[in-house]
Amino acid sequence: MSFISQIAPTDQVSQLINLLFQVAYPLFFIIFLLYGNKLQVRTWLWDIEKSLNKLKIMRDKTKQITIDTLKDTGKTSDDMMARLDRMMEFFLIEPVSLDPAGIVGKLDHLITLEEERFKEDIRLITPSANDIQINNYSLSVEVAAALNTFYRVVRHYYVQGKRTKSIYSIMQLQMSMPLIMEMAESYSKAAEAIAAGQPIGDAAGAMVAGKLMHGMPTRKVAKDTVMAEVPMDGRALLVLKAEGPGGTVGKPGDGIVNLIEERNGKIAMLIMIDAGLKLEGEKSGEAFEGIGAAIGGPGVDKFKIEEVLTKYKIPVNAVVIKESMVESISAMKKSLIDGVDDSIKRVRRLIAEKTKEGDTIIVAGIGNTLGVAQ
Amino acid sequence: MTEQQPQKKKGINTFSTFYLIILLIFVVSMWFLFRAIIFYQEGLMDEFMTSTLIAAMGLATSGYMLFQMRRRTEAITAMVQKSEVVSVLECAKCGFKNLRKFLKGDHVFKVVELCPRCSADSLMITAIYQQEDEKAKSQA
Ligand SMILES: [Zn+2]
Repeated sequence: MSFISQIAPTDQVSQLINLLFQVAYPLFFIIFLLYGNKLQVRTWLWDIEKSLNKLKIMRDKTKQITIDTLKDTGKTSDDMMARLDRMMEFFLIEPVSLDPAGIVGKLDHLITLEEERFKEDIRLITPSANDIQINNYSLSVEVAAALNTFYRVVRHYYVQGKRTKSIYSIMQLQMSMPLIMEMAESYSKAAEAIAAGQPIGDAAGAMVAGKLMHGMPTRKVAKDTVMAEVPMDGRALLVLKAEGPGGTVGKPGDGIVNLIEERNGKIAMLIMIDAGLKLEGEKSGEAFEGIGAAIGGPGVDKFKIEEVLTKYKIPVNAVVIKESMVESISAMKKSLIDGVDDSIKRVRRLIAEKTKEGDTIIVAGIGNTLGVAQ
Repeated sequence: MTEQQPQKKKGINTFSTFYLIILLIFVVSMWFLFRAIIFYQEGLMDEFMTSTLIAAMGLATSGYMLFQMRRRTEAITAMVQKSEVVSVLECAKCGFKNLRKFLKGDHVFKVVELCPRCSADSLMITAIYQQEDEKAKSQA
């Protein structure tokens, strides 16, 4: 008569189904009891594998973007691919810290060498590129190399976990994957902004300095670092930033030390402006004030600045523009521009409140100056 | 661009297949619901219960699938729709301000063209930023 009555179980069929359920029910328990962990590990490994594939795609895409930008400049060397591959696997062996005295000097030396090596290699790939382009390209390659490291490290733990079937190491990896992927995604987004030469969130500090010094004659104070003397309310501001618009952070440590030493320590105050990591839930682009050398990185610049400040007992104020990790390496957002304007107001207020006429003040805009001139 | 086109197409194809499946489940559930009403009228309570259960399960499944698909489509469109990066051009003389798409080679403090309003000074790029949509803002 109807579909339902046709498939409606007869007595025999229903008995069979009943029996099946009676067997299957405890069987499920036993399977989950014995193999539950294994199933869990399988799902985790599967999750990690998916992310790993995504990481690989991101790395290859970033590499492709880098290659395309390099080709844009004109002639590239024939061994470009081999060179790029070598650069992406490039490593830095950190100095031994058993006897920490003088380690910063060693680290500084090694980092400088690494940077120079990168730029030399880029110059070999694209001989016709200018300094700005060289800076941008080495930043691009750095991003590609970072993604490569993400991929290699995750793959290492994935393969290791798969081989040893250690539930805890796999669990740890699976649990850290969302954060790793978020970071990797921001790097892959950064590649596009960098290739186009767009200012990234990290440029906020450099932009503050740029806005303060714009229109004034500049001179170099350290490698890739420029300064300008700006008169303001009867005080002399020595504004310092990395030399733009190429993608570089310059050597703000050396720059500040040189400026202070040039004037034999006769500096009333140092104000440092940098982009800083916000906590989740905080508003991007908000500026905060504090005391101390506002500068990230491996600590070389911070060490140099703190040394010279202590030597001459110079007070240091920090203005930090809050942003997320993702924002700091992707194209700058409007809220950060607002933060830049707010920071300039804060710098002016700090100068008005904490110094007097005739004083000399150093204002250092820290961060990558990609896409921001002076 | 050429790389993105086929990817998008493939995505839409899988989507339409999923929507077809959802539609199919929905139609079948509606049919069971219709049968259930007839069984009820005929007084066949067992059949009525079975059909209602199947119909309810089908409707719930298709509803859930539709909801999930919507979310995924939104996520994908958000990914494809890259927020545009703009350059702000300003005239220092007359204060004329203009926003335009970021062009390669643009950088902050770059002097670009003569001011169209006063022709006395050149426009300078004062900012380059990514336009934020309201949704992203509320999440941040
Ligand atoms: Zn004008």
